[in-house]
Amino acid sequence: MPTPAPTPDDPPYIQLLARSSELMLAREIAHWWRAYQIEQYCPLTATWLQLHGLLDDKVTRFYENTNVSAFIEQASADFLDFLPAHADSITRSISRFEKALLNVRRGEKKEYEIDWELNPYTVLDALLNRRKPDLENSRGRYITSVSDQHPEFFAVFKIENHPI
Amino acid sequence: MLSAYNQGYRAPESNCALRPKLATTYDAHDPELLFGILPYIDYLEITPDSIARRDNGRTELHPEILADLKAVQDEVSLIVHGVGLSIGSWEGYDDAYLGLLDELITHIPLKWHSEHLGYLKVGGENLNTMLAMPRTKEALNLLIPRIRALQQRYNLPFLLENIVHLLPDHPPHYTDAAFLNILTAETGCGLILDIYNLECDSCNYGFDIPVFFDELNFEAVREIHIAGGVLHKGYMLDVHSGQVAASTLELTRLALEKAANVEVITFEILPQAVQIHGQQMVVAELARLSQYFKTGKNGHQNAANKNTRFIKNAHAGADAG
Repeated sequence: MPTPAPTPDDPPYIQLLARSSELMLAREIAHWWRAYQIEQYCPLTATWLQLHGLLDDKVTRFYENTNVSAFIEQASADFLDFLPAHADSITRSISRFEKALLNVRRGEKKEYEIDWELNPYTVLDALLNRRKPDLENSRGRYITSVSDQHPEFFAVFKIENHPI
Repeated sequence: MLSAYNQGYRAPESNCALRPKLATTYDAHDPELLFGILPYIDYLEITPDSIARRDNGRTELHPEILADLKAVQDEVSLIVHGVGLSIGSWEGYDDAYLGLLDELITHIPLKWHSEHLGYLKVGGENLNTMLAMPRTKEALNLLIPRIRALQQRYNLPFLLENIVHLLPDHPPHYTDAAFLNILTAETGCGLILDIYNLECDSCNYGFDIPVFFDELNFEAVREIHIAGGVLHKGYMLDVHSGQVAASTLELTRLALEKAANVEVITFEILPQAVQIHGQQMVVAELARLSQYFKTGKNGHQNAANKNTRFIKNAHAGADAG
């Protein structure tokens, strides 16, 4: 949660602390860890956000608005749940896909369907190679089905003739 | 009052006093790394929080890592170094962490367990960085019963580690050494002396290590931590990201001259750093440290012998399975 600024009634030590470069550093270190852990456990979503210069902002907003678990699996899953309400449609698709994949790979017996406005293969290939996907040549309506019934845990279906 | 330094403590053999054993951290399921480091270490340090996972709303230890630890429990002594206890949080320490420690103890034998003398939760919120305790009478009153409660809960020695002072100190009632001395005297808990953290404090705000060494009761020190880190914006950061600097080693030697009860020196390295530098860096660093502290007549020769034992055990296990 955001830290309130000190008031004139706060003790001198709190006033000193609030102005200190060390407090800024402590916040910076905490942010590093948070972003790093997100990168480790949500690599697709984190790479997408990083490539678009959004990772730091999203991580900051997530931690400002949520009392996040100290356990990274939980924190990462919560981050992926947080993003769809705070992001564009492509980020929503990627984060929902990654959350579904994490759940299914962990043994969950459920099928997830995720809508895409881009060819998921193009997006995933780009992310795995840490580059931005070619948006113009990959537009279309797709659905990914994520389930342990698929050999690679997911399958891609194109919705033919669907207007974009 | 100081006679026991906690339950189950045995003083090391006198001729070993300046030749403590080596340990390192093991926080990820990485049998290849484990195989590589095993020849150089006698202790393996585990952080329950780092080997835990959340599964269906339940926190539990990673079964794969537990299996790794069970596979080597006859080769090395296992010691716990927690992160998530948050022993100094005003609202109380973290029960989820203790749940993990409870689970770990049911699976593997531990020689002792330890924590950082600080807090990482405020009002139940995770700070994602650990902060040092104010050295006040109030802090002692908060910490001492908690340490005693942990000693009663687990029939194991309990150690506390000095952490870096990231923030400016609250006006203290005690020096760093005096604060630690009271804690150990009142509770009989042991200390982990983190040499690299002392260097960070020295670099970052001029902490006087010689004065601290003169005042500290070294009898309580059972473990020493060493690590390498980075400078950032003029601050030396406690990130365990690489090799141990020559200055850290020299300071460790000075500490060992005073600390006759040290059983183990632990080289701390983050699994993230292992990913960056590669397993071979960790193995090579342990080999170098092994030579430096002269834990054996010939570190590499011992390593070869122990490697052979491990391979034999692994094959025996595979045959049996």
